[in-house]
Amino acid sequence: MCEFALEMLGITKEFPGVKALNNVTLRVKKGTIHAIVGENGAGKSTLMKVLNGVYQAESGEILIAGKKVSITDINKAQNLGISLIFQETNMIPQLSVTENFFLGHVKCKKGGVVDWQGMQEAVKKVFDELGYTINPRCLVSEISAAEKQMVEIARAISKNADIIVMDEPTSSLTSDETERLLDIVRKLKTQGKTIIYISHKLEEIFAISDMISVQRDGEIIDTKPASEMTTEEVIEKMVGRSVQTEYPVRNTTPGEVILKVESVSRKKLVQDVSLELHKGEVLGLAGLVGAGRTEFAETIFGAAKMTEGTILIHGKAVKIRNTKAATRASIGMLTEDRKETGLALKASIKHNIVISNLKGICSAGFWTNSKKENDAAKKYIGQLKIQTPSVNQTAVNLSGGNQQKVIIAKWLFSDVDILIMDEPTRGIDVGAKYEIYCLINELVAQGKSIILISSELPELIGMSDRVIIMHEGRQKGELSKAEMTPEAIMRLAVS
Amino acid sequence: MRTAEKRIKFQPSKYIVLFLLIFLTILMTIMLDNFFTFNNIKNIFASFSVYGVTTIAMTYAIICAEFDLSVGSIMAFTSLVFANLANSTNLVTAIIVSLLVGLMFGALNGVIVAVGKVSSFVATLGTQIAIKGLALYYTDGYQVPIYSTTAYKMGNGELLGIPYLVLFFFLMLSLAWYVLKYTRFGRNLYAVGGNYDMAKLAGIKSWFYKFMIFVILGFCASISGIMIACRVASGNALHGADLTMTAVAAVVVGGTSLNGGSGGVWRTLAGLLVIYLLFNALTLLGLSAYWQQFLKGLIVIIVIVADALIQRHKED
Repeated sequence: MCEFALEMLGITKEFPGVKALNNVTLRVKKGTIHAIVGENGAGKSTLMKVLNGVYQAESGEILIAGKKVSITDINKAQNLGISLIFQETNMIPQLSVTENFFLGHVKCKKGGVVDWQGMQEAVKKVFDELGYTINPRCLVSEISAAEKQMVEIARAISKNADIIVMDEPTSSLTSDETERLLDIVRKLKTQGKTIIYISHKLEEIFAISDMISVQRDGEIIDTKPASEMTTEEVIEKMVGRSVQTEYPVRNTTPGEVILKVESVSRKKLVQDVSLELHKGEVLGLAGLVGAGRTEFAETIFGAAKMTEGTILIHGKAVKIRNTKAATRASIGMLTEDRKETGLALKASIKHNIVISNLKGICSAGFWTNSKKENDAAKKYIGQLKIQTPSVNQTAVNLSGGNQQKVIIAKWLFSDVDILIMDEPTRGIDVGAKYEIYCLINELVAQGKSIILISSELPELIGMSDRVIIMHEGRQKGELSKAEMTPEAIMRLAVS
Repeated sequence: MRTAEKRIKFQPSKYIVLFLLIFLTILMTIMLDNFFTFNNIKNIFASFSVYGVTTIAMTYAIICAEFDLSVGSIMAFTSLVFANLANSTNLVTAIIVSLLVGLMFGALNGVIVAVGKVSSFVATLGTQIAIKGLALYYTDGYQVPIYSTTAYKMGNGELLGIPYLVLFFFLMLSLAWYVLKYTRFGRNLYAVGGNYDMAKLAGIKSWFYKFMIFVILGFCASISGIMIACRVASGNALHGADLTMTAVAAVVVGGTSLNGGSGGVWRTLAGLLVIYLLFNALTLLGLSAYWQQFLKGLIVIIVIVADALIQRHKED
């Protein structure tokens, strides 16, 4: 009998331009809770997707209970007793818990009549064993996020899963719900199940896990029993990388306060956030996925409703009810997903540049003037060094970096002073990243102010004058340029 | 931590159509002397039985997040086929061939939508126009009288005071309900309508369900075609002109969501009743039949807007 329930040996997985997993070896002992921690983008989810056959690794092998297996798709993984519970649950909200439980495998009596009673009893039995109080007849849309996770776990167990992978299961749960979920995870362990628990909430990790593996930049840095690790040690290992990218130097000093945000809240997503942004400053917003940074930015930009708080620009209170008002108040935003919400992908570059300020290309305030449009587009293409054969090129044909520049050009043409950049370098190659950094510095030199949201700590530290750290919708602290270290930021971001 | 099992929440929004139905019935009984009489109630049921059969099939389609504009044309075409064959051959042949024609048109829609992966709105918009054209060409636009007295009896006879057509409608309704609730096919329909890809991942042949929806619609539309031909003793290319809209209106008023994945045929019955109760009231009040059209649209808009508001409220 093999001591390990699962062994992943020398797994390598590449995506175009990135080595997502580099020779990763992970051994998970039977009947333990094994945690994997790491920064955003460390490759935790990729590793688990390889385990579940969602991705195929280029090299390496997987052993289940000592036997070599090949996992080509999710069904194969399921047959081998591996169940992955995703962050977002895989259930159809309009259907009842029972029906989701038996999705695609509806139980029938002889003659093809659906066996409702039998199905409900089967679900009830699994729920009773786990101590759930969920009514199997409830619609999935009526149960809470925690209960959905619980149903998914039960579903995994009913499929005889021995290895249960939980990917950030508590990211949308309240603390009470988290406690309940952790109790269930412990219970699974006593039943002899092996659990791989992915999270970046260190408290949880230390509360339940037996072993901890730290993953960083696609590699497993260390694996140790939880009792032999400290929070400090884990944080150090999570961030302790050498800074690879150089950041252009900026020789400007921030001026007077241009934007003042006072205790802004957006339901539960953002709570009581206050900050000041100076003229010619880059203010970093740090935090893990789900910390509420994007949600906060959307609130200021008028894309979501602010439930409380005030926004002052140049000391004057402004009401920002929609994005148009934000633009008028001189705020622009580069959204996280430039293809979905940043660009009109099938439209030309010139149209994308003038789209937010059509007034600027109008003659007599009414007719759009194509000469003005072309001139404006050409001006920014030159200024921002956008590489394109013509102003009429469709945006979809540009590289990521050039697309990002087009969006920046759009806001420059709208003449905004404050630019919120949400993950501006995501999915952009190194050279283009550097250009974006230079561009940020140029904008700052011109007196623009920037709020920079990034999940890459080196980038935040390299580019920001100050950084504010968020955690679960709240502001956790602020660090000056001198205080900024990856460890200091991470410590605030995980607590 | 073990507490009493969580109760299923009572959601008033689910029963709006029932409240509306009861309210309308009481209101009309008080206001109109000749409303709550056996004959009038019978009239209401008789007036929607023909469209009702297709409306049941439309419920299936909307549960599956699909939609069919061509049912009216299929109904018209089959009424002509039935009328011609009833005159030239016998009734059994006429019925069988008419149903086959309906199945064939339905399968055509199904192939275009499920295999060709075309939006059902566009696909059935095309077939609607094409089939209507065929129907008009078939008899040069003339209606075809049916001489068979048996056919007339089928369309107008009664059993214990209840019209055959009404009985048939309820037979179809019960069958449809049973299939939805107690067969694997019915349950998977909800899954496919709720989330096509997720159903596929769970091992359901999603495309097949989409295909079958249109076959069922074609089949039921041809039944409606036969029913109307028997009832008025003629086939006509103009039959069923407003079938699609009436059917969709009844399904939606009944509370089956256009997003798919939920709903049921009893809701559709309630929807049909609400719409036809109002039509009936208009007639009893002596208002022009043209108001019916206006009213139908108005009800749909009110119900959809109310539903959207409730949904948004729930999300907040």
